[in-house]
Amino acid sequence: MATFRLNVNGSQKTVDVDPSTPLLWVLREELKLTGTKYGCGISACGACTVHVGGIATRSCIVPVDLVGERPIVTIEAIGNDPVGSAVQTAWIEKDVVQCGYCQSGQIMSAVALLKDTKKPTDKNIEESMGGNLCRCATYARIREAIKSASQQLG
Amino acid sequence: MRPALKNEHDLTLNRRSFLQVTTAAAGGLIVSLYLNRITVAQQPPPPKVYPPDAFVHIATDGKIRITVNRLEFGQGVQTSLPMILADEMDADWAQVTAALAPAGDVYKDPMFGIQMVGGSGSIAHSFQQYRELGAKTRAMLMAAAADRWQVAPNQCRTENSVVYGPGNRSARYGELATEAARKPVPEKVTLKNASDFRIIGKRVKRLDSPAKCDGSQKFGLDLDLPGMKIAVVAHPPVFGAKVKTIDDRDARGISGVRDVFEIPLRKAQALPSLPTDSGLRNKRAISSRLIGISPVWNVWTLRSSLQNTNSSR
Repeated sequence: MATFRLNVNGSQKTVDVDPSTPLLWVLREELKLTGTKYGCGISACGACTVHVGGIATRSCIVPVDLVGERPIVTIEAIGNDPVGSAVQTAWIEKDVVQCGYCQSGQIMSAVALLKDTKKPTDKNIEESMGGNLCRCATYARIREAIKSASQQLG
Repeated sequence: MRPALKNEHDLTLNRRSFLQVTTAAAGGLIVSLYLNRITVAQQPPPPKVYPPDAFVHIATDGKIRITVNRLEFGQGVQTSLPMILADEMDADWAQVTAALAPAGDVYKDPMFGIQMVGGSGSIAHSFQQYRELGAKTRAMLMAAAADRWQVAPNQCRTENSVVYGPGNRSARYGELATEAARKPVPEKVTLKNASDFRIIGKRVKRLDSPAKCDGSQKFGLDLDLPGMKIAVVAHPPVFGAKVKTIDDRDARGISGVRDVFEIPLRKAQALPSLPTDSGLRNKRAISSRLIGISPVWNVWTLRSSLQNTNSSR
């Protein structure tokens, strides 16, 4: 066990966990931020995607002791960001979700894409979002919503 | 041409023969119909009269919460069943929210007789039920308005969450809610003609979207009850494998892990008692599965520790 100070959604949190604990379980179990989902545990599905230092990161395979001082942003706070808010609005407008289990991760990946590439092409979207699996197969609407958010953001 | 059905028994038989020809194509359907066959006799029937207050809540500010007697897992039932009820109720759709029902007899599937989702039956089985609930709620609101204005209920009409009476009288559903709740639930109601549907058949936004876009929607994995323990099942690497030896030293070494043991999976009935502390040891028997009990979801270490202890055939 070791003590870690983490910057999560803009506030400082202290957790006492095994250093090898994946960030996902620190967020879900210690901080009760359950919006980030456990899917595969091996970085193969993208359901656990959060932003670490602004980069879309699979939290299920990142040990907490590697995070350091990099700010962590989860789905619970992404709406405070103008890009995050535009993506959430587009997601609702385009009725993207079905079961919704993967959508926290989809949204976090989409926000990271739009912060990096303001006007993503289909190819950009496929490359950036390809690691986020959706069992309901909402992919076509995800692409539509990303383009709509991009347009909203101008 | 199909012969006319004489009674419900015929319906069941017909469904079963239908089942035989569709076995290969439709997994969900098979499961549901199989359940239908085995549970109808064992389960108490769902109530014949559905109390509207178990399904509809109208707040004094006009907000309408409709309870959905199914699980939402993406099929959209958390939106479609409220649409059906709201339409018969002449509700203002913009005021409607949906809540998933807790466990309860009143929320059983009217055809299956158990509380379940499957076989694409949600709308087919609850269309009439939700229409009647909506129509009954509307009738109670009209009765309350008629009382208030000292007119006959048939002098009133409804539209978009408002009751209109003779002259220029009108009252919003929200302001009538408390009085309407005291009215008797009508036994019989007249349903709309399909041509008068205002919400059914229209494209509306899903009611479950916002919570699924901001992380606030709770899924099964997110359930957190006081003192709750999590059971983690380590499956063997090949189907039908049996445990030869168990080395659970690593698993037991994980902080918080309560116990590691084999569970019998010969009878599915043994499963429901597993997540509790008591009775666990009684369930130990010849088995091809291991289970670990932990106070947290640290499946990532527990599962990999247990995985190593499973032997192959």
